[in-house]
Amino acid sequence: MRISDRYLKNSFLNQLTTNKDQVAKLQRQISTNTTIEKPSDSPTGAARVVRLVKQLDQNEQYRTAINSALEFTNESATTLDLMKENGVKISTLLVEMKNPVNRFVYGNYKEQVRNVLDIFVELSNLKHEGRYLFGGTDSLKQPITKNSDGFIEINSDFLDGRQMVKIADNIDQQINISGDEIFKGFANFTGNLSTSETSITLNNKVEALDGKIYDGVATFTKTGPNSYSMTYTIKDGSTDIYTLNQNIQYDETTGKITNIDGTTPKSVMIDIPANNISFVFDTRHITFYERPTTLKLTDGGPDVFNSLLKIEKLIDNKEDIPSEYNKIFDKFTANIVDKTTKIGNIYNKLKDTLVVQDTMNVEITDLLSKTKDTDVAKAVVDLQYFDYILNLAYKSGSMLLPKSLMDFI
Amino acid sequence: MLSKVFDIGRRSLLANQYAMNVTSHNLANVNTEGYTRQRVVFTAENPEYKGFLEWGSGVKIQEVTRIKNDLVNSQLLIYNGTYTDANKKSELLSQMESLLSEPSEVGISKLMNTFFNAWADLAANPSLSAYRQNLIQAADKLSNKFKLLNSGYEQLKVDIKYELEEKVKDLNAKLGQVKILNQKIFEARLQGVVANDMQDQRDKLVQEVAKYVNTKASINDKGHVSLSLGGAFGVDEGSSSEFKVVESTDGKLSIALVDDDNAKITLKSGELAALVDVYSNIIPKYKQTIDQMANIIVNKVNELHVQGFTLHQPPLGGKNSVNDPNAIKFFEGYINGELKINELILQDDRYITASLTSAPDNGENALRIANIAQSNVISGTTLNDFYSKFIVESGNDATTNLQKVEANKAILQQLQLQRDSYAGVSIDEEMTNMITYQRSYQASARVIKAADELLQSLLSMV
Repeated sequence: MRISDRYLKNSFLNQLTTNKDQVAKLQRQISTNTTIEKPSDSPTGAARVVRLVKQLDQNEQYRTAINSALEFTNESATTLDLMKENGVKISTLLVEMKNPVNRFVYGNYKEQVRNVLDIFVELSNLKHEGRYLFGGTDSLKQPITKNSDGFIEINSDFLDGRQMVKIADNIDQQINISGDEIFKGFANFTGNLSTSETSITLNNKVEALDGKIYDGVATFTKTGPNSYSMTYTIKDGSTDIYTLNQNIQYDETTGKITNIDGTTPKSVMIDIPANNISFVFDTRHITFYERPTTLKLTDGGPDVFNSLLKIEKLIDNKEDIPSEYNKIFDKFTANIVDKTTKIGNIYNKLKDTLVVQDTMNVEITDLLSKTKDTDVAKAVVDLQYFDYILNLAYKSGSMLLPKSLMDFI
Repeated sequence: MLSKVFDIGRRSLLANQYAMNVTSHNLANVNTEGYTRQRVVFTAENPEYKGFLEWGSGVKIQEVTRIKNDLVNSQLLIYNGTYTDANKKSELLSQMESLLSEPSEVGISKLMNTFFNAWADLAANPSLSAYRQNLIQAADKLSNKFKLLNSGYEQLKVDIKYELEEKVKDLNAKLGQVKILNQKIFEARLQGVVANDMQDQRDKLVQEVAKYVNTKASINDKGHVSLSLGGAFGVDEGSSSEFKVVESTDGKLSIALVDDDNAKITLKSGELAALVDVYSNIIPKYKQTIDQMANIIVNKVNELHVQGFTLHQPPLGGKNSVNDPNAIKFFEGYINGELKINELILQDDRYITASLTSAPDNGENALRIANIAQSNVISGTTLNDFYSKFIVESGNDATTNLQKVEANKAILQQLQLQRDSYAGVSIDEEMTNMITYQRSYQASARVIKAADELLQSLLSMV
């Protein structure tokens, strides 16, 4: 083959460029610590990186959510524990009050009862990072307040709300104990009444102080564009023993009740002494939208807050505390213990899921590293090799290229 | 007959002097791109016949010829086109890859993850403004990326069209130069001159034309080069065509004759083919995928967002359709390549409808929106998987093209080396020739001197 000077030069340059490309590529891989800088470096590798990064991001998000939920559930558990202690305390007080020896200091128990009531209200309204622990999904209104008529009522509009947190791809976990699980006895309406409904009936149970159960029936009938009439009847078998009628006006834009019977909406204390019935009935939290009806009515009966208020009054009147009250607080404490177990289970599930997510984090990070990170040791050895080849090419080039016959004639 | 010796010596001196001239011309052009080495072809001068004897008349130069390989040159014409096509396309695809910025912290995939994770974060903390602002920031970043990507594609199209127009102007100029060289070479030929250097210039121009567009070249018996560019007439004897860039109503580019839009070049290779293909087919294909994704994000997020409730007291929202005049959409739409966030939300983060029950701490709607990331919402798959597929496609486009570049580059380099092997100047060879011619010249001079001495001897006898 004939070798011209241009052939020699171009051939040398072509090989030199190939070597330099390799050196540049290795240098880039070492300096960026990645073998995949753009999709064309490895199309399937790049797609794998995208998928792994997505998994990692998702995993980070789950871990953050779980850690936050752990704090929330931990505080809920602590609060429930305090509620349980105070439930036990009030049961103890009621036993003590029955002891004739303590009859002389009967009045002193009022303060202790008041303290427990205050603690119950305080614990019920505790917040964690701006959210009420037992306020359902309503962070704007504290769950329990005393109303202007002197009894304790449910203030939260969404007491039964479940705070859901996504902790894994297919797991949405409730992290709160909602108010309706704790504050038993308030006959409380929650949810939406579809404005397309012309008539709807809901049933509940009403428990008397002596433990007898009555049937409650609430019927809503559309009476105008923005109004419903509501009739609530308590039945003893087939006999109506109590009826409450309310005319409800609502704002169609906001979906909120504007007035009940022409006045500011209030809850009602239903007292039927003949049947030992006393409970709070509350229609204020209903919303009215076109959306489907989700209306619910919780069972009525003696609640711990108003029971404590009643005990106060009994102490004031130096009357004996009926033994039925012990049952109320025992039942309350048993429920709190039950909910403590529930929140404990949620906490444990969150902890277990966190361990899984932590493990996954390590595995995904490892996979990601294997997919895109540079094997620095190999790259450095390769770089040394190509550097050696490059130097050799320079050396041979510098030896051969400048020479011609001219040097010898 | 002594004068005959003088005559032969003189011819030899002249021939070797001319050969030295060609050698020095070759040496001078050792580094000239496109130069084809020249060779002097010596031949014996016509002899004289005296009786039965043949009296040689010395040497003459038959021709000065270019040493070239026509087969290699015609192969170069093809591979110059295929290489520049692949190389230009590779350059443009690389720019498009850079626009995607994948895989990185600023690519769509990462920003999309951040956006949907921000919804999940909000679902866990629906009433906290910090998480609402975080979501707005994430949406804004995603929106900016789409905007950046789309404006990048648009800018690339503007640049491609500009480059194409400039290259077509250059192509026209080159065709004009080939036409002029055709004429000059023909004129020289009429005067009996071969015009090697002008032929070199013309060959170089033809190869440069082939780098722009698939070219077929042929030489007629008058020595004119005719060029056919993708079926369109480029140069024929003393005339050449002029081309222009034409954009159709559907946004596709083509190259047509200046005075006839319908007389188009069928582009198969060359830089112009690459530019037209990327402008007319590849960018629209990529953009269509990006648009499809953006529209799905807008539609799916809005579809759920209008059903939720704002954080206002009393809350707003709770509509069943995005077409409801009072529906609160998260995105105003995908407008001019931008995910436009609802101005109300930008002004007041309470307009984000995280709640599904109108309860402030209900994050179910945010959770539903976050779950879009896991749902098969686009072409039977998730947004991330759809995008991953797009990344594989774009990566494969670039890789396949890069392989074409490498394959064609190897062939082209080999052909260029073959051409250099044939037509390139070898200093060693020229120096050897120079010594040969120098010695021949010296020998001829010696012959004349010998003849002179013979003549002197004769004269001294008188």
